Amino acid sequence: MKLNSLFAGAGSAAFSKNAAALALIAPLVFAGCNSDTTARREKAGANSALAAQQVYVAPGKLDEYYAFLSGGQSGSIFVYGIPSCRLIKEIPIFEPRAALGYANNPGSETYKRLAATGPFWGDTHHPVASQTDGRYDGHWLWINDKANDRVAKIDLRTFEVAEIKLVPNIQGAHGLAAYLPSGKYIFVNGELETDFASDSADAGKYRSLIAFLDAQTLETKFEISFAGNADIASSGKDGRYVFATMYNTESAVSSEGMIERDRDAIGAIDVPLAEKMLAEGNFTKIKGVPVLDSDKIPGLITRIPVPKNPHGCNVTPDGKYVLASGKLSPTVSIIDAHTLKLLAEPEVGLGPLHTTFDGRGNAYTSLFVDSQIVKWNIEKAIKGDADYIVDRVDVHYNVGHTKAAGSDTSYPSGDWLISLNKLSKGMYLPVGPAMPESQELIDISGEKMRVVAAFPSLPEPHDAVMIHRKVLENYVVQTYEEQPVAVKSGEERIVRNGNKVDVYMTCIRSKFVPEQFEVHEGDEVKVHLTNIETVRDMTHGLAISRMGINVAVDPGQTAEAGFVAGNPGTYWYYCTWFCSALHLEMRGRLLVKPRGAELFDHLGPISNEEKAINAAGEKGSSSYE
Amino acid sequence: MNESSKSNSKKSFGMFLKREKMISFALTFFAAALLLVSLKFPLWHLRMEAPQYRDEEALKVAVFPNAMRGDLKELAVLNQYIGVHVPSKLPQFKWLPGALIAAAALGIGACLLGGKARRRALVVVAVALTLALVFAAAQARMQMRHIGHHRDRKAAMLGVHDFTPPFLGTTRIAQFEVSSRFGLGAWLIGGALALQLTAAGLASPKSRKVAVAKRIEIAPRESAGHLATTAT
Repeated sequence: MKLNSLFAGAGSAAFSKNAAALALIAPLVFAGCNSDTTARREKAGANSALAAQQVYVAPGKLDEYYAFLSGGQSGSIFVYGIPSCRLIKEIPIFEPRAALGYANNPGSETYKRLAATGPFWGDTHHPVASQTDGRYDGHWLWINDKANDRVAKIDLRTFEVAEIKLVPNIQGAHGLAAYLPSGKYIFVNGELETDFASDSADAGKYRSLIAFLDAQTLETKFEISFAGNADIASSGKDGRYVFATMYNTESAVSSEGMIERDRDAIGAIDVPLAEKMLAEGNFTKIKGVPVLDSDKIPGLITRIPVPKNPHGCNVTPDGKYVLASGKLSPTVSIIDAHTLKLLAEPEVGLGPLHTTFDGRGNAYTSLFVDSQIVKWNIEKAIKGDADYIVDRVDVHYNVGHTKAAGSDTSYPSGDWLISLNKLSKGMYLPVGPAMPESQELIDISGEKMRVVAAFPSLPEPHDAVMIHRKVLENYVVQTYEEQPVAVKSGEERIVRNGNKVDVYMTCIRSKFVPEQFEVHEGDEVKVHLTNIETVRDMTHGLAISRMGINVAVDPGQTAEAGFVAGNPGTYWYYCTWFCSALHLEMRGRLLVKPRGAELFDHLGPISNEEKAINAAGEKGSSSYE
Repeated sequence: MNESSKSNSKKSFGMFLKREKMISFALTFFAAALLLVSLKFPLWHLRMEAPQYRDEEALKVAVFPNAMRGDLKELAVLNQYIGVHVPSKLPQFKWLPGALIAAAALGIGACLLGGKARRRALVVVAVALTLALVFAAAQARMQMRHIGHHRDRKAAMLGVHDFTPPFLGTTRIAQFEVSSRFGLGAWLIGGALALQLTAAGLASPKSRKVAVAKRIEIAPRESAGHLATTAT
């Protein structure tokens, strides 16, 4: 990234300057002749102790918030507990991950749908949580895939992917938000311009799209086309406008061209008008999707000029204002979300990228270049009061998104804020040139902000949503209800149809049933595995040696996986999730026999011949009844 | 029974029954009711706690007069490691509900008998039921000992010694802290027995004498036959 390389050094230089200053002061402290320094050190110690206390969540105790961090190029969502900053779960979405989620169920509908939508890789940016009446309801979480133009929906009962759909026509599906207050659409901004109408390479025909998806099915209901592009998304609260920052109103194809104009725009999209035009048939169908042309429908997109190349787009919790963070301009543009009038452009610092809110009238803007979070008062900034800046705090380093708890809702809780930093530069033990991403947790409950913790993550969180644990308290399931496709205990079987073999298998501590099955080489084998456990956390996995299969099933869950049986021989299958005292013994055999050889089905652990051999070791049964 | 005859029988009760007799009948009926209600409640609870089975995840077994319920599946899964087989049905289930119903019925039946015979009958029923329960409990203790001592010697885990789960109280078995206690059903039966014996006591000659001495006016004694018609 251009900005990265330009300004990356700034933060670390400041840091080493501080370190040098500390080194100078240190001898004075040890000499014990500078009471000022001692007092400062004591205060710092007290602050650390307080911070430690705030983030300490004793073993077995639960965090206050779930923080859902987008996983960037990992194609996932990472779930952290706040305030402890402990990583609780990774939800793989666009990139299957062995042992996690639907990726272990290649026969599942989710897996098939994913495989049909594009490559097994994605770039997730903006997690969006579903709301009812201006509060998170904890039902769904949506996220975009910028690289392959997909949107996914996560079911927060199971923290698993429920739906993935490709968004037609669009390229660079970037900003994502729910249309409020109804939440019936999820809309996604196309950041990269193309000639989607005729698929040509003619830059003169390039346009972008904002797509409106049915929030549940993720079907693209309609798209709005316009010249230039759309970056970050936010919805007004009254159902009229949704907003998008637009940094390439130049419609340029080079980075120099994109920064040419002094002002770009924030676009306000009139959704009821779009719906009306749609109903009146005022659209062209492109690849099956009705596309409304903003050039032909006055008022569909109102562009409000803001300083060039804005980035963040955030509607305040009360729905009164929409804020465009300046990025290349040190300002945040405050726009009336109803009249679309520019009200003020307060200076906040260098490289403002995103703004978040505490519900007490304050905005918190991330300053990428300054490596700071700046807290400022919105009303004071509008009035032009000189003291609108409330506080600044250093973060490490080059913060991108920042998000306060509940900031997207009408009722932010104003207690915690996460700073999602792009560079960590020595914040953690050196692990080679590829350094971890870093986040910082900031206490915003007081007048002054306090950085209380930093925590690394895999690449690369862009944005976050924090949901209070009470919202999900009685919603998250811990074991699956019996599914219709479940294999029941006692009904395990092997069904052969030509060279297709279906194996219906169950598992429970510490056994697979059947513990042995036979196929011919080249057979297409499909294993249907049900975990018949009923206690929580008793996950089992079925890995079949050298067949590329790992099926993981949580209690009550059924999964399917298919493979083609390779060369004749014995292939052990075993449990991949450490489950019990007999975990290692929890295994069985796939016997691949040459074509034409006789096959036997024996659901018991061993064949009749083997039984005869083992006769001496017959199991003693309890005499008591 | 229509409204008028109901009020008539109420009147005849009020007028002709001695108070003690009335109380005695009431107690007997109440005892019978408790015995019947007890069929729906557990006699005995077993609770097993271990580090990974804490609080609401503790394993629980409840033994009813006719069935065993609770985390039996999980218990069976765990028991395979120490070679223990816990039967899901006990022989007691076959006769215990019958014994409780019979005791309730016989208690009510005893009300048909006059004074001394009634008292004797009530005592006999109470004592018989107590003996049956003691027998069931003794059998359960033996069963529990059997469970912990006749284990599959080829079971996975070494280092778990033969054991007897506690009938009442707490013991440690392998990783579990196992505690047992009586259930509501047991207390209901205990209460029923106490009521029945109290009813028998009220039917005794001594208490009747006291009653006679205290009463100025004694209602005419009704026949057992009359009582039967009014009671039913």
